[in-house]
Amino acid sequence: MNCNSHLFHHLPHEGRLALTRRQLFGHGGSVVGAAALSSLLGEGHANSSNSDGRPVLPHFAAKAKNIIYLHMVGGPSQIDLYDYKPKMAAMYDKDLPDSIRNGQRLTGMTSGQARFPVAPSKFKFSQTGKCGLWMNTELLPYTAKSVDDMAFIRSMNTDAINHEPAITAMQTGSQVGGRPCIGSWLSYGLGSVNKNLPSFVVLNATPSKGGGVQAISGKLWSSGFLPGEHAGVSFRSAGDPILYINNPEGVTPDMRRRQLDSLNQLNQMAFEKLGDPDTQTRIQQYEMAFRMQASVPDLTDISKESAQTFELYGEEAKKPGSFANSALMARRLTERGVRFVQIYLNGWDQHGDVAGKLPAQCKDIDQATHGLIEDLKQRGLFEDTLIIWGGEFGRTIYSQGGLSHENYGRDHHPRCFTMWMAGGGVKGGTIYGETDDFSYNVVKDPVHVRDFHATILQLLGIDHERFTYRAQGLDYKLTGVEPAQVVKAVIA
Amino acid sequence: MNRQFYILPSLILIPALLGAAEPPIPAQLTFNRDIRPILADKCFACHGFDPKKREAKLRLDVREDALEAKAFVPGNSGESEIITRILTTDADDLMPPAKSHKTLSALEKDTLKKWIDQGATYEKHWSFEVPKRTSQPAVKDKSWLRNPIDAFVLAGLDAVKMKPAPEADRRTLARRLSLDLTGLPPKPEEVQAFVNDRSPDAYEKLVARLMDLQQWGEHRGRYWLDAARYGDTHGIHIDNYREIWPYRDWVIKAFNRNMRFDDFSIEQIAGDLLPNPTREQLVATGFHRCNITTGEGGAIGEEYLAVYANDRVTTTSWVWLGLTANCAACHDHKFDPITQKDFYSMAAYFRNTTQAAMDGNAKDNKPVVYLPAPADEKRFGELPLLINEGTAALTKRRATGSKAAQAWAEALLPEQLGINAKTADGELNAAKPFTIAARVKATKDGIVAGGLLFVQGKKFGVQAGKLIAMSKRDVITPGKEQHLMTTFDGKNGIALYLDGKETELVRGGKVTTTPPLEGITDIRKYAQEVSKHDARSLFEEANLRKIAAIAPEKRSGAQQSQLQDFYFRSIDVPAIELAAKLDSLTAEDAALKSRTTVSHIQEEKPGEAMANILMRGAYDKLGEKVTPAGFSALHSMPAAAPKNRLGLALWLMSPENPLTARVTVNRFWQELFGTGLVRTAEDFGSQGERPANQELLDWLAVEFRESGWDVKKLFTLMVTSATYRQMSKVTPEKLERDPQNRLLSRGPRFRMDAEMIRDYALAVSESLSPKMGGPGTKPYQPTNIWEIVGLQGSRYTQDKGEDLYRRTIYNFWKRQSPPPNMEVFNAPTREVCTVRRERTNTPLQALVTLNDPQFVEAARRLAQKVLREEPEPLAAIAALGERVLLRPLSAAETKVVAQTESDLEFDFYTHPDRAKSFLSIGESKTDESLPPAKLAAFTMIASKLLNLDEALNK
Repeated sequence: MNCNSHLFHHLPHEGRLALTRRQLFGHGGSVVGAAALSSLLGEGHANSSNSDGRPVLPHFAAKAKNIIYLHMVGGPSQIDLYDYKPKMAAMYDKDLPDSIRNGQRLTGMTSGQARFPVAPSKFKFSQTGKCGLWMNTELLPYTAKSVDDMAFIRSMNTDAINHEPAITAMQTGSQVGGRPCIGSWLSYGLGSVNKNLPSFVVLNATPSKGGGVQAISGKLWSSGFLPGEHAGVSFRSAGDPILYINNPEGVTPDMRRRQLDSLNQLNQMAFEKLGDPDTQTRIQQYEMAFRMQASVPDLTDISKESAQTFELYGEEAKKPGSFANSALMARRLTERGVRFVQIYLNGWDQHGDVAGKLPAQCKDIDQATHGLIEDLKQRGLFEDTLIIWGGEFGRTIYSQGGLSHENYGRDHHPRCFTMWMAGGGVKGGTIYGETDDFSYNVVKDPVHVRDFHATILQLLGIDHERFTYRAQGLDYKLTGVEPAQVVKAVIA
Repeated sequence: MNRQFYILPSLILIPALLGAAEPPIPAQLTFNRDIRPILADKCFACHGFDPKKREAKLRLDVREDALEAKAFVPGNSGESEIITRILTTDADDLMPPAKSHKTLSALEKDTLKKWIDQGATYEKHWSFEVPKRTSQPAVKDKSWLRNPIDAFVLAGLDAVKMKPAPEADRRTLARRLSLDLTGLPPKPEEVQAFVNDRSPDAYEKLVARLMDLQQWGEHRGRYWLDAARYGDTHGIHIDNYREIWPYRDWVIKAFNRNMRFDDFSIEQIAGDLLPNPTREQLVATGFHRCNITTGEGGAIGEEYLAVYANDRVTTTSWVWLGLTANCAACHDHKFDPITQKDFYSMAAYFRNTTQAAMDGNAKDNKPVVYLPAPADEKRFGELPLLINEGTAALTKRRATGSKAAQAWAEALLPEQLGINAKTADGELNAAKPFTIAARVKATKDGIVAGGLLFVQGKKFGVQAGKLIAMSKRDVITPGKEQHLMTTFDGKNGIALYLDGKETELVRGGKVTTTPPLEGITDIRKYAQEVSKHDARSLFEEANLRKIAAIAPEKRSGAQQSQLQDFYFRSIDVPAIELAAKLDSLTAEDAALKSRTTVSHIQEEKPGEAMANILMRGAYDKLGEKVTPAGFSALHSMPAAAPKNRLGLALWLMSPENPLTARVTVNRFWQELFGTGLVRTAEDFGSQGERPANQELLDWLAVEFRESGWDVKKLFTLMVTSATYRQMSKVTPEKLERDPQNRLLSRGPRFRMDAEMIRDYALAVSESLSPKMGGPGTKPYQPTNIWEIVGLQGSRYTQDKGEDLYRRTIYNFWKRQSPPPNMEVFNAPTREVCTVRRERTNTPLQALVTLNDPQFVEAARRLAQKVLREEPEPLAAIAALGERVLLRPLSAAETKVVAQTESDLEFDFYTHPDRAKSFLSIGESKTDESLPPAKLAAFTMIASKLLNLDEALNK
């Protein structure tokens, strides 16, 4: 039967899968070739047909093949990093004008505050790069060297004002849980290029200083209604890098090999008796697990990285669980064909003591981020890899709690925040979008979360309108039901 | 080749599954089977039910409207506009338009044409018609039939000239039945007993025996808890513990006592609204307290109340109606006749709740029901009565003593005002009870002369011998007059009071201050521990002395009652004694409550239920006000139904409801056969898949309802059918013609659910604890799983002993971090309702069953078991096979297993350190009487057998 026939498309997803399997296995149930099976198991889908029911992707030529997404959990302050507001110095401790706030809803944390005094950034900003971006060069001196590789969107905005819904929206396109995250969508759509590693990996970096930590959870890398294998696999910095990846103590790879060989023989006998194609899938599943076990130690062993690498990322990169270490791991994963590496760095929820906390957070990311970009360039991976940096929302210009020239706090702010992209298909040195003098409202070129998502998909060669999945009675899209626009200005 | 299939249109099957290359268009088209799917997929989005999305004012889902818009001319496709528009080459006119990204295939176009030529008749969507008891179809081979189910199945197979598979052997059947009815594998001796039982009703006896086991309820309950989105945490943000496990246990017990499914439903939706609800009926209402909630600081309450109601409507709709009402939260449903008004009318039932928006991150977020332990039960009932009596007695005393109080107040001299307590003479120390109170304007640290009471930083505290206690919070405001007081019971009991009110204290710490406390304006010392009432009196004393200075006749009413209150609190002995008694009762009640299990329940608030339509689903965009109602396109509300959740429950269980019975039997069918008769168990609407065999589904639905919603009877019917008893062998022909087994041409075979896989390993190794119920258990879990995602205080403390080996249904379920070894096998996070799990196979699953200590330890215990019983290797291998696979291993299999065993044994023998570390995995003791190398090798092969496809599959 022809897979493109009318009938084929009327089959439910599993029906198609099973028919494909049957074609692969042949009627007599001979063992399928490894190549065919590997496609069955989800490898190399970027250019393959839709024989297993996935959409034909990419829709058009992709500019990026991989993504490294650096999510700053808690919402970094755009005012103190990238959204330069020199006029605010004169507004110190003056009330935020009502005309600016304009009835904006506030969180339960500051809605009771008697006044909303403006807190100008206390940090040194200067103009940098050919693009001439005004940014906080005091805390981000390394990043400042990379600005001509980056496209800044200063007009990001979101609908959510609290962490849980905002981070869920940023990762899944919806404030309510249960939807697949970006990584899962891409794993589903594009598949993996490394048959020994998952296509979507999550790294949870630990901030070097505590405080300002927000809850993150497996729902942020869950596959939602997409098949479970597209969930992010969380790599851990301590213990097994992938849960259960190591053999039990006392069992060597060679012993495991012998155990699996005879397991396969027994499964093959069962297959001959019952003829269930799933038994063949099971054999392959165990083989892939074995290969994964073999490849992970090499992946996580950074002892052979050169001194130059550590010069790039900084010495912190040797410390498991640090952001710098995660950035280095992200390069190693990308190098090995992992499509989507998601790094979460907690600690940006600075309701108070911005002066104390922000420098530490910036120190965690600054050198390593620049290092990652340079490293990817040196290895020829930069053009293929889209790097994304940003949080789930921004922070308020007015101070939460006490305000002095030296210190202040900032509450959540959904109306504007800054994100940047670099690498695959991104027009370096772009500064897009503008906010008002208070970094409160977007005044030019607003970019909603869904526009941002549409842009990511575009860079990967996917038309967000056509990339859908039928579940719970709806054709779901990452970008949701409201119209979303690709931000063409940031695309090279 | 499939022509005959189409000649029997009464059987609704999915033609595509038959693998035809180019099927002909059926001779006689049926709207629901042939036309609706095309229109629903390609046309209804713009020409359907939703008026807001409707283009060109054309709707094609209602024949009259389509005719009025002149969309087609019945009987004449050539004159029909829609045919012209789908066939045109003019891009501007073409339907569906290019921008919809939808196209019609040639076959679809021809089908539509033919349908119009045949008269363009419509049918109501199949699932909206009330199911009728269908007569059993005629079949060729009646000898195969065991009950009516089989007639429907065989008729389907006859239609495509396929034959059912032979009956499976008895061992396979015993294993299948045990797994399906209890979720656990049978013991080898039970299988043997069934094999040997030659009585004609051996099979039925086995079914009945298995259904009588308590594990029946655990297994059925597990599926239901997915639908109920049961979890042990709140789910959003901090995701703290929520105490609601009694609801989980209620579900298990309900299945075990074979509760009628209608009662089961009514009690869960509205048990609290039944007359004089029992505690159990209140616990049942936990169903709609299982939804995820938030306690995030700064979250907006109104927003979350909307989210909760939305979840409850969506869940109710999936579970009982098989409708994706969720689509109608933002707009009228595009495909099914559910309006946005319908959605919020149902939401109205759930908005009328006493539940607060914020869960407070507390384990007992009201409303809750207290479930005292049997030993506490009597006292739990008595205490409220005793407290009432005590309160009444105190009130009475105040009435009878009011004259005395008045006389006291009139005679009162300000300087005489004081509490009725023994003033201390001499030194106070930790050997005896004392009270010390000071009115002080503290400016710096210091200690009261003679010790005991001190101010240190912004805290104050007491030092009595070795006992030190300090206020928990910073309560001292320098320069402000504050009343500090401490009482000591002479043993260990310390209390601190600030301005007459008890303040939390922390024991321990270090007193570093030595200078005398400055700024004291008044100090009292008593040689007894005074009451909290006296604490208040002492604080108020300064103010009351001013009142006492006023001539009695000039005191205001408020001032008089302040003095009276003082009198009864601290002067009148009978009142003081009554208050002390009442205090001890109240304290006892609080202590009892804090150790008593609670369960979250539903509770109606007074007033009529209502809700606003939320425009685009946004909580702050209120639309029209609506009153509670069922979905308007379905049956009408029973006349007697009240306008609250009980009404909703009665509406759902009404015999006129076309959906609930179907949706329920379909889910039960799915539990046994892996796939429902309707594959999309959550969606019986027009976007859902059509039933593979509607006559069978309808027959079962009617049978179920008319049997009195008897769940065990329904399951008996299903598992005693010949359909269920078939071999699961997949022949090339069956794979070709019935690849997904939708025609039921063979027995069910599929990978077991996560929980069953873990329970299986525990059961065959005889590690499984039979203990039922109680708080969630915490078995083996890699370290740092909760910590990495959660906020402070989120720590997983693994259980010890028996609780490591409890059935998985009792495992603690943290929604933001479900057990990773379950999640990888497609266990849902339980954040939202799940009526159909994914079933995928991934390498990460292999890593769990090979490497997770839970499974390694089970393999070792299994190896120990067989080696103790059968020291001879070959006999031990045979026993291993029997235990894991419930059948003898073949000679070829035995050879493979024995070879690996001897290889690995040699390895472990030459590397005793490996054997030692391998055998030390798990908390249970290793049997040291067995040779380590042999035990280690047998553990490896036990693990291997547990990883066989055959062991992982039902």
